[in-house]
Parts: sequence; C-alpha cells; structure tokens
Amino acid sequence: MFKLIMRFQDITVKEYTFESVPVKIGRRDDNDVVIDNMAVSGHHASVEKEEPNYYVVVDQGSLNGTFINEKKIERARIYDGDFIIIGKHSLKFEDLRPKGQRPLRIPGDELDRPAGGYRDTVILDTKAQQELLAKHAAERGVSLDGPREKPKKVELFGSLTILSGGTPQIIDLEKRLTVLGKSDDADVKCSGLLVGKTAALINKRPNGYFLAYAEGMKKPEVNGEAVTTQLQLHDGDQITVGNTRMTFHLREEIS
Amino acid sequence: MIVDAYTITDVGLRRELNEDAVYLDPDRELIMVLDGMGGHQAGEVASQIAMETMASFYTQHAHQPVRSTEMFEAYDECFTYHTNLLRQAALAANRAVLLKSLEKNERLGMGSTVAGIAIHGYTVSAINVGDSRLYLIRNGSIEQISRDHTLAEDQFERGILTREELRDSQLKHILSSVLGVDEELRVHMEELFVLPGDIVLLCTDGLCGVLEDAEMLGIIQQSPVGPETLTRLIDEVNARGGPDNATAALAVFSRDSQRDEE
Repeated sequence: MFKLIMRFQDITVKEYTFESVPVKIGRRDDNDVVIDNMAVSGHHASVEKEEPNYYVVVDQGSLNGTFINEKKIERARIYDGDFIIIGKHSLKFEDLRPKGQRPLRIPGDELDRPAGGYRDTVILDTKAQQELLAKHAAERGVSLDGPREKPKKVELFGSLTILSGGTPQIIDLEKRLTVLGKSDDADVKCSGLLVGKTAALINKRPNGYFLAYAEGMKKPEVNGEAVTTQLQLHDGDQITVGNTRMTFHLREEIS
Repeated sequence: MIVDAYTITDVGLRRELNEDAVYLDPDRELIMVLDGMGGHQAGEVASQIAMETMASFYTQHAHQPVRSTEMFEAYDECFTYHTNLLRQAALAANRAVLLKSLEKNERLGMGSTVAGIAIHGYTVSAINVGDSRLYLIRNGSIEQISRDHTLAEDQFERGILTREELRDSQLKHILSSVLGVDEELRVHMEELFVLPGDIVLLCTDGLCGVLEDAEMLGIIQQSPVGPETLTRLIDEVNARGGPDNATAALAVFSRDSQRDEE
C-alpha cells in the first residue's frame, strides 16, 4: 500500500492511495494517475513490485523521461519519501506499510545506471529545470536566494592609448577581436611601410588579452620584440605596428 | 590562412539510429556538429532541420555586400557581424525545429544541440547550444571554448557545485538550452584569432562524454591531422562501448605563404 501525492508548482494537486500494482501514470485517460500536460507521454511510467518487498518505478519509453529525485531512470527501486518527477509534476511516494515490512534503502543503491556509467541526455523545460535546481541546492543545504560564495568572476577592461603615428586617443578593447592595420575596416589604423591590412589582432579571452601577428612584412612589436605568433598582453606593454605606437592598459574587476 | 577540414559521424554500438548531423560547406567556411534528441526518429528530424536552417540562413547573409542589422533580434556590438549572424542562424533554427515539433504528437519535445564555427580570414566565430563542444588545440594544449548548457554548469555558476563535483553530477546530462524546445534560447558566443598550426575540434557528447580532453588531444597529436585522425577517435570511443552516436569535425589552419607576406 502506498500513496502518491501530486504536486505542481508547489501546490498539492491530488493524493492517491493504491493497494495493488501496477499503477499506470501518463497523459491518457486510461492511466491510474492522469497528468494532463504535453510534456507527459500517453503512457509515461508505472509503479510495480519487485521481490521480496520492493516497489519499482518503470519508465514506459517516455519522450522526456522519468526521474526519481534528480536521477533519470529506466527502472529503479523507490523508497518512502522519494519523488517521482515527470515533466513539470512531482509525485511524492509514501510507503504506507508498517515500517518492518518496508525495504531498507541500501546505501549506494545506484539507480539502474547503464553499463559504463553513460546516461541519456535529457531535455527539461525551463520551469522543471528551475525546480530541479532549487531542489538540488536545498539537498546540499544551500538556498538559491540566500547569500553564498559564488565562483569569482574576473571582468577584464583593456584599452589602447595611441601615442604616435595616429590620432592620439584611448580605444577601449570591449570587442572580442580588435583589428590593427592599414585596412579601412581596422579598429586601430596603423601607418607605415610594409604594414599589412590586418597587421595584428587582439583577442579578448576569458583569461586575458592576446595579440597575434596576422599579415604583412612588418611584424607587430611588443616592448621592442617582434611578435611572430601570439603573446599575452600585460598592463603597460608598449605595442608598435609600423609607425604607430601605443600603450596597452589592463584593469581587472573581481565580482 | 589555409583551412583543411574533415568530418565523421558514427552510430556507435548501442544505438539503432544516428541522430547526429554534421555540416561542412564546400568553401570550408561553416562547420557544425549537431546532436538530435527525441523518440520515434524525431531526434534525426530535429538535427537535420536545425542543420539545414542554420546553413542556409548563414550562407544567404554572410556574403551580402550591404550588412543590414535589421534581421537581428539581438545584436552584440562586442562581436563581429559574422558571429552575430551565426547566433541569429541558431535562433532561426530554434523556431524551425519548434514549428516542426508541433506538427506531430510524437515529435513534441524533440530538439538538437549545435556547436558551430564560421571561418573568416584570421578569425573564427564560434557558437554553441547544449552540450556539443568546441575545442581549440594550440601549442600542444587543448582548451574548451564552448560553454556547456547543462544544469550542472548552471549550478557551478551559482556556486552550488565545484568544478570537481560537476564532473560526476547527474545534472550534466540535463540540458538547459536546446534548439527547438523553448521560444527562449541561450546561445554561447566566442571569437578567436587563429594562428598557423591551430586546430579546432567540434564534437557531440558521444565523443567528449566518453574521452577526456587530454585523451582526445593525445589521439589527435599522434600524427599529422587527416581523415584517419577522426577514425582513430571513433575507434577509441567504440572500443569503450560506443554508448552513443559520436560525431566530430576538425579544422586545421596553416599559413597561406603567398598571400600573407604581401
């Protein structure tokens, strides 16, 4: 004998008590538990029995999958207090048999993990995702709303100060790619003999700014050294492309 | 820059159908891998539609002499026109798959991931949706440049899971952004300059879910990159049980000495 308590968006929708199995769950009317939602398959899952005294949940080849707590299952034992999650709905499982007749949860009783530990990828809609994430966080004793330590994010703010060989100005390097060269499309116009149309590129990456040589006989120089491939830029670096000289500045903000 | 590119897709040992898709245009300008999902062959439909929609949208607009920004739902000035175009192509594919999924009951909920690059001269535009990945291999090291859209990654960003816990979390198999499921779509964008010798690897989770990054790097570096490099990767995946469809593409960059020294 067991109970299934259907909840949807934190509201208890319905409670069911069952004496016998199988109990069928799905969108169609011929199920014992009908969930009227397009994310639920016609015949989605069932609760069955397994010797000697287990209840098991069996997915019936549903499109969006059946979960016990946060694990996707094909067939798995279910214990008092577990949640069956189907689409946006959750069904709390309460074992109504006397305690002595209920099976004990075997620690590490891995839910039917396929050989090799590989799992199917699953798609959940936004609402179901948020619920799962909140539940997962709660199990770990973390509130999604409360203050907690987030991984530090470093925001990078790079800029070029044109010193000579071009219009004196400060150019913020907000773009992921900044083109230096003779081309009319270049973000930083550089002059001089043998300077390429795309003489150099500056790439903003998560871990810093990088300068690369692209084309032209004249290679860009950083602190007097010619760059033939790429290098990471540091605050105060002096960059020369042909006749154009500039200074790179880098500011980091940690949030 | 000269680009050589190769692709491979394999059904694996456990699946009956290959729901992955791979795209390489004749000019080696656009490369994509996609991983379709959904029962009743719907996954196959999803990845095909997503691929065709993205390829035709991108190709149609990439070479227009006049660059109109009118068709963009969102235009990020920090990225080039081509990267924005690639994102817009993903948004168009999202709608196309969603519409197709509403035609038949058994297609409801079908979707596809995508990892794609567009190559222009010395730069690469990269986008991804879902858990298909992009890697940059440069100077003997491998770096993931895509961002997985999985609940595990979300929990990491919120500070609930650590990088180490993330690796074993069941949440990494639940996608938080997929083409064709929701009207809202998260697309991760990245831009890189490329250097001679650089390699970009694109793959579905049938490959990078089975092999570690370092293992893929080891196989790729065994000998000069060619079509057999991809065969070796797939052979290794199948030697470990071939649990899923596996798809990969490689773009190899080398210097065009005539043009570059001009």
